[in-house]
Amino acid sequence: MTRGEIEARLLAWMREEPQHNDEARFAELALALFAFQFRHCAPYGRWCAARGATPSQVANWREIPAVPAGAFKELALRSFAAAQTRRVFRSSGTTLGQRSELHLDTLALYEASLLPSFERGVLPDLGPGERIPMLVLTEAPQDAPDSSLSHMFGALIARRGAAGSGFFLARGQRGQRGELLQRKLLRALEAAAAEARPVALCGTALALAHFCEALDCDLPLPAGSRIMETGGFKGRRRDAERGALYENLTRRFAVPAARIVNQYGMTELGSQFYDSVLAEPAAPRRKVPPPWTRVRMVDPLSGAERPPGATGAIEIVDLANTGSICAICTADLGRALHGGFEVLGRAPGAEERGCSIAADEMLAESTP
Amino acid sequence: MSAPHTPAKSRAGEVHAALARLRAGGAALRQRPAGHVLPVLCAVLDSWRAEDSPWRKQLEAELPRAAGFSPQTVRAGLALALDSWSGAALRALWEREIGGGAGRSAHGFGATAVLLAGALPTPSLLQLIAPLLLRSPVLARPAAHDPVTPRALADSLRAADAELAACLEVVDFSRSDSAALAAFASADCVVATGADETVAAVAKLAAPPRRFVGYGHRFSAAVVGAEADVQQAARGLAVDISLWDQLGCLSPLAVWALCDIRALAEALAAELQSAAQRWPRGNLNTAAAAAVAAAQAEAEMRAAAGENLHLHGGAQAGFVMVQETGARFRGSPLHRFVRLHPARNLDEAAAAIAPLAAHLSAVGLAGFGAETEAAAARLLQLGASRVCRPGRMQAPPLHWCHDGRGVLAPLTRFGDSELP
Repeated sequence: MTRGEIEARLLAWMREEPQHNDEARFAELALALFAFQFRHCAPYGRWCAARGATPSQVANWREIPAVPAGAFKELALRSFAAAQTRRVFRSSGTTLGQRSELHLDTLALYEASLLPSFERGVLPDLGPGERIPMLVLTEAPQDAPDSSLSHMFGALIARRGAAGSGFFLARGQRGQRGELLQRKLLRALEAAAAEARPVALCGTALALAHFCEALDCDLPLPAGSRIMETGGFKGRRRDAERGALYENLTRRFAVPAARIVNQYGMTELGSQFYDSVLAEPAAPRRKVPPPWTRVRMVDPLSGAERPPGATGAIEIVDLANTGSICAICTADLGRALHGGFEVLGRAPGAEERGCSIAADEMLAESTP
Repeated sequence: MSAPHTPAKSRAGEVHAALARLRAGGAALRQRPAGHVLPVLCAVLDSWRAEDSPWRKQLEAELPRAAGFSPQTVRAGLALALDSWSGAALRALWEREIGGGAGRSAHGFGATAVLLAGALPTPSLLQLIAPLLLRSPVLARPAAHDPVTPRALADSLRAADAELAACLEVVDFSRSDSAALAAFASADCVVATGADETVAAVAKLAAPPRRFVGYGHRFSAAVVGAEADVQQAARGLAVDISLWDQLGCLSPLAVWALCDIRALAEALAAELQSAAQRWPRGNLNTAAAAAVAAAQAEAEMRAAAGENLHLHGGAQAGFVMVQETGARFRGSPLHRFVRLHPARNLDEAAAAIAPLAAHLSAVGLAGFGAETEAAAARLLQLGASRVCRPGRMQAPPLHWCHDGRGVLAPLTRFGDSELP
């Protein structure tokens, strides 16, 4: 199967309504994509071969070697000629200057993938094509052309954003995140409240936390509003910090936790994963993978899959990553839960055993 | 997703009660001349140094299970660290920091609360002894991975001096018990160790006029000069890297080689292998295993992309060493994962360390011959608070000015009388 054929089938899958978790289709496309990437991404091919995992040896998508996400900081992992690069998305930087990069020669799959996931996770109660004001606490795509998050929100506003939608972070300087346009955002939220128009308030967890802290009064949003947050926190106590954020958001904006959706995504991936709370309010909160992805919890040393409920390293096969590598081992821990998964972060709830610290953690900047 | 957890039953009341008892006991302690307490604590420390010390035996028996270290690592780590921690060394520390000149007085605080962290017992031991030397009673919150050390110290104090032993209390409470933490931080002097964010959170609670002393995360490194005896340097570095599974902030994450890097890599790999047999690496939890496996796979990917990297060991071998091609500092996931970088000279090594200098603790240094003193001065100026030879990094002397601040001085209220 050529890459063009793989992409055509994926695009059709992403546009299907309703979508199906078609195991046979996933397995066929995953193995075809692995074979393509093995041939066209030389470092990946050599690395796989050294592990005894060539296309002729890999018979099951679960055996596709997953590249550590950190490798995207070190190497341009692309399965096409460098000259064909159309866009490079980069993660935020660190003191040592290492940033993950996702090289793309087409944005077609990226954009086709993001919409249905967002619709299912954040807009499930809206009618087909219905729009909602989307107030986004990131920089605008033109101000941050290498931010996958800004690009994603730009595409989402274009497809589902109503009048009043916009970006509320100023353009950052020298790779730093821009300042919050607080007055502009306040006016937009007050206008929505005055018109009783529900909004989708979206942004990074840190930007939302800063906004909550900066407000000197509560600003109840109209019923039907929702909040989508993404990205990490400075600290290691991810769960506690997210819990505190949700309490603040609920108090400030009168949006209950059941209408606050976390998105799990990363620069290295073409697809995103949303909490199920709006789509399945009666079910436990968990991330729901779109049908063209698979998420497994694995033992980091043996690679063996962990049973549901057991903690493991999160390994993702994302078929939207046709131009880079589709199998990625994240730096996060998680556990499988009711057909979805839960992200536990890097060291969930654990006190450390030592006073030394991994240098990259020490240097990691807070900007998602 | 869950909101922050507040335990149904806070232990704040127990913390307040313990502080009240300690303050009362401290008043009696301060009635004793300073010269009475110092010899008792010197004797206690000496009692820990003997190989058949019951307190050491207690640690050797219980710490592996609590902290995840192998028993061999605990035994060897304690032997090395306590080797120079004698009663005489404690007295010398007292003289060095407190000794006093004419008109200078030194007092501990009414009560000192010590929030312990990590799983290494010897730093905890010193942090609990130091306030007692100043006749300040101590309330300790043990580290989750080392509940043993405070208990063993209390036992050893009890055997030596019951009144002094009553001036050390241990109260454990959950990290999420914010009321208990606030009560803890109401002590007159508060010492907090742990992650930078933990230290910052406690500092907020222990606002002036309380004394706050925080010890956040640090890292260490090593530089091996062109004149090094490669075998000897490798032998020492393997000890520094292996003991306490590289989790102590005095264990090097990276080594810069100004010498023949291939020879040093081969020697160090052999020594790390030998150390892994003598002192097996302890348990890796899932997060640590994931970090080690990812770092190793990243190095393998870079090698597959054409970088001339050399990997030694492996996640299953009990250590990983990556011989890098450039001086640029890269992360280490700890647990005996070390990077060996080439450097043309000390300037290049120092430049690689510089972005992290604010977090730098110790530097192991060897192979600089007549330039040793100048090289050490350069590294101390860069931000290191300690420079020593390989093999001694995990054995700081008692008088090491921890994080550049001293051991007793930060816990002391000094006073000067200008009167005749």
